[in-house]
Amino acid sequence: MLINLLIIISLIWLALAAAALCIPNAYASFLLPIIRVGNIFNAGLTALLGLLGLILFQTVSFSFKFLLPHLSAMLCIDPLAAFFISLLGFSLLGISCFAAKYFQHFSINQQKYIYGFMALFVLAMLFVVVANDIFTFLFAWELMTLSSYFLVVGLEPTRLARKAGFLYLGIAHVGFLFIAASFFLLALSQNLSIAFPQLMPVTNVGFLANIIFVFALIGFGAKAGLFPLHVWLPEAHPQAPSPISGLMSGVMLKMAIYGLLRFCFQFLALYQQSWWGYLLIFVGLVTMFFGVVHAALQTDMKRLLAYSSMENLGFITVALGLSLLFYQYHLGVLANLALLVTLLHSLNHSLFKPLLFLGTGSILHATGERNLGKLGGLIKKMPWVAVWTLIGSLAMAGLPLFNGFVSEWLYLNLFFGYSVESHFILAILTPLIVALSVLVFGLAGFVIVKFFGIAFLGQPRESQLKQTVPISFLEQVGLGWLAILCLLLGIYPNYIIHLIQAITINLLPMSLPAVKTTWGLSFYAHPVHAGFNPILLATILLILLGLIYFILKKFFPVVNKRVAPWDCGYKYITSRMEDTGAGFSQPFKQIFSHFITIKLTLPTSENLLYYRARITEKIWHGFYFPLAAWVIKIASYTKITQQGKISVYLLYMGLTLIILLSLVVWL
Amino acid sequence: MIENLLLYGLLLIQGLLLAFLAPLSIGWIKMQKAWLQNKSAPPITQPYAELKKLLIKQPLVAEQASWLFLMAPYVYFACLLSLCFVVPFIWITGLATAFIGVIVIAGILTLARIFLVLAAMDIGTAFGSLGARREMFIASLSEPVLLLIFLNASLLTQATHLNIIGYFFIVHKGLYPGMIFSLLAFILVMLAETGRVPIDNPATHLELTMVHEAMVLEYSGRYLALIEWGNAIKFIIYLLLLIVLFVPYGLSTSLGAGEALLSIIAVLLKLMVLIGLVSLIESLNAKMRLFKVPEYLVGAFMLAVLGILLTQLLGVGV
Repeated sequence: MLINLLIIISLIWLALAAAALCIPNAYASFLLPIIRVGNIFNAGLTALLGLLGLILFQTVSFSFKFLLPHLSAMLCIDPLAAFFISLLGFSLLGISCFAAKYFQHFSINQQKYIYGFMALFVLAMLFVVVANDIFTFLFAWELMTLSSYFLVVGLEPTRLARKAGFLYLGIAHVGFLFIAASFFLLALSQNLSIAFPQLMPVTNVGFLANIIFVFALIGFGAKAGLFPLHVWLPEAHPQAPSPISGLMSGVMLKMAIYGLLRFCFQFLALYQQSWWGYLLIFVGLVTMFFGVVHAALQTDMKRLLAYSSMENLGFITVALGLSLLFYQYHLGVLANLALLVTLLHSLNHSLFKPLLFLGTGSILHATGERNLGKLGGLIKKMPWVAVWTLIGSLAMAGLPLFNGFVSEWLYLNLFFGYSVESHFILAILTPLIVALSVLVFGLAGFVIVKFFGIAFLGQPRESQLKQTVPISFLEQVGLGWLAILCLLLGIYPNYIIHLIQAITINLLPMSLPAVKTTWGLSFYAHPVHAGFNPILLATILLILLGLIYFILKKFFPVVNKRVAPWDCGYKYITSRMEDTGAGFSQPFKQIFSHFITIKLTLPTSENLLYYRARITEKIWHGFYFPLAAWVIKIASYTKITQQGKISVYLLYMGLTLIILLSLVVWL
Repeated sequence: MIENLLLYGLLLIQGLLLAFLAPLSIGWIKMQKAWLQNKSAPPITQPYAELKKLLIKQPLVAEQASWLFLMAPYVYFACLLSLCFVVPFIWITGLATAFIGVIVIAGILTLARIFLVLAAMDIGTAFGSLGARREMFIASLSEPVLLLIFLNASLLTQATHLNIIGYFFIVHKGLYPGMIFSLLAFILVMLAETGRVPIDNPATHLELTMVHEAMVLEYSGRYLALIEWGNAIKFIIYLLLLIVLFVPYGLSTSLGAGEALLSIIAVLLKLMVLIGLVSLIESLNAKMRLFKVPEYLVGAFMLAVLGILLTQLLGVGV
């Protein structure tokens, strides 16, 4: 059944892509509505497929031959794949509802283009997850990269978009190279078998396993935006249309986590080393920290969200590393809990981040402005968008009653609820890991206050903002769906945790589940007194809110009087007196000045009063520019071989043939 | 069954009592500060009179205020009120202590603060966003320290809930070197989070240096009453956290009336001494420059980390 559903879904995606890309403009007005509905419908089917796979909890595989007799694509839906499919589906359902209306602002050509590549993009992500052999996986991975590249660059062919796209394409392909290399090494150790089930090295691969892991980490790290391969992330996300940014940030980055999980806990499960865990934790922590510091300093909404994605992916990587590490130290329960955090936070992030990106999309559409410093006061123009975005923001900050808190709470319980005294290095390192993590969580709160506060609150900073329009019903549905899921998973996470724990036990043989989900959340290790009950907390807060409200209303029945705000002794206050985005984070710019490069443009004359601070990452000057210079230098040395004459190239071909032939003879 | 009901009833009363007594702490600290400055002090019940005045007055709300501005004081107060049922006051446990652990406490405190900060930015006056920016700047550095202090206590006691942590320290009396560092860090953080002198001045209403008061400048009437009362609760909650984490001796662990009476006397004495110390610190120090605050908080952060490292090292040694 699962396989049938999967095939139907893939065929519909293919049909949608073909329809969108091939139809002539004359029929577009007829076909585009069908494509929109098809998108939503198919997203729903995808979510259903994932959920069914999770609930049925079975592994089904399938292979079909195409083109050549020996070339067959193997597919498999196991619980881990089903989890990532449902992550894709749930996120996509909200996004495609929103997109159905949002994309109507573009021209017909652009719509065809977007829908076509979006369908391909989703199909590719689906196939990355269900692929069961190396070729299918790499093919889907490359399709995912290319289709998202076209979505990044295609819409507005500006110089900035092309530069961002090129950077993305470059880093993605470096990553692809490493992934392919690690697969190759893996297959090499297994008599070149390409099916995933046969990729578990049975013969001792020894040192090779380390190389395979490092290659996989670099390869998938490039996609996940791990430091130092994250530079494409803040450039590419702002260029794509908002629903696409949401899809890339919420789902595509998780595909890298999926790949890492497959490598760590399936292919190389028997050869795990504890230093892999340390490496993952270190990379994750650095990513988290840089992500949040830069997010705090951005003034462009989408760049801010992109950096915050980096922070979240860093967090997920740290949890993954901890899981590996605990498993190596035979702390099965802790490893299980850490893996639960990895998966649960992946899911949570795939809900609140697209929600926020969609929120920026509606702001962008309503005001045409992406710069926080020019927005403001939108809570009155777009009240519902403000509500949904507030929910997403609070979830991102990890506040109680929202889904981000559940994963943070579980993560902190790794350190709070358990003692690891028996392992000296762990006992010394965990405080440092916690210290850095909680610092990042604290700063994340600042980031959301800046994001929400500057855009939605206060007074409009520019006059054209006064003409903003409210958004349509379908867009509301998309935003509302994601926001309600954020709340639901924050208040009643028990069921999904129950489902995920079944997966983690599968991935980590011989380990026990950590979290008891009967009533509230608690731990098997401390069943009585280590729990958290989000439902009870929500009830208490609601009762208290109601009581306070009614008591005040009953005993002090005074009506508010609307007056002008206090004007500080000036005649009137204007919106220019508010903080801008840059002003709001100014204290952080000062204390984190060691981690960033600031380029100031000061006014040159009286007439040209122009002040701009451009904040970039140090890594550009420290790593990428020297690297680029080296590459160009090496390329210039090879220039002498390039004469531009056909005869010379023919000579090269002849020489190559002779060398190869002599090699064959020699061997 | 009857005993359980009695227990829940008593714990409910404990929480409500705590909420109603909280403004006394503000009255007491104002009294002490007045004495230290050789002024004649207002009566200790002055905050109640002020709250009553605010509650019966007509609230003035800025024209451009949105629903968030009107809702935030309720959320702020409700969050802090819910914590009254979590921190131990007379008995070692509160009504909701069993399912709200230390991490959630930190989360609820943050939730309350973020709503207030967002409300401060809602009107769009210069003071509001100035206060909001500074509050978040301080809070995002002090919240981690609070969590680290909790972590240290958790590591020592193998528990994440205040009642068990407190009980552990009552039963296992002794000197925990790691906790001394945590105590220092806690005092630093408490002063920062409750807006006390080296970080913020609660007595000022119009200064360019103010933080918390700048945020609530636009509030009046019952909204301000809720915020002021919430602040009092927040202050006393921090003090009670200090008591349960570092000097829980005397907290009642059974339902006996005599023990409860003893516990009330002990906790009131401890609160009086602690508030006296806070007022002493406030009177002896000048307010810090804003950009000195990170140094102060990073100091607290380092102390907290040091405390945990010490705990871990000694734990490994044993």
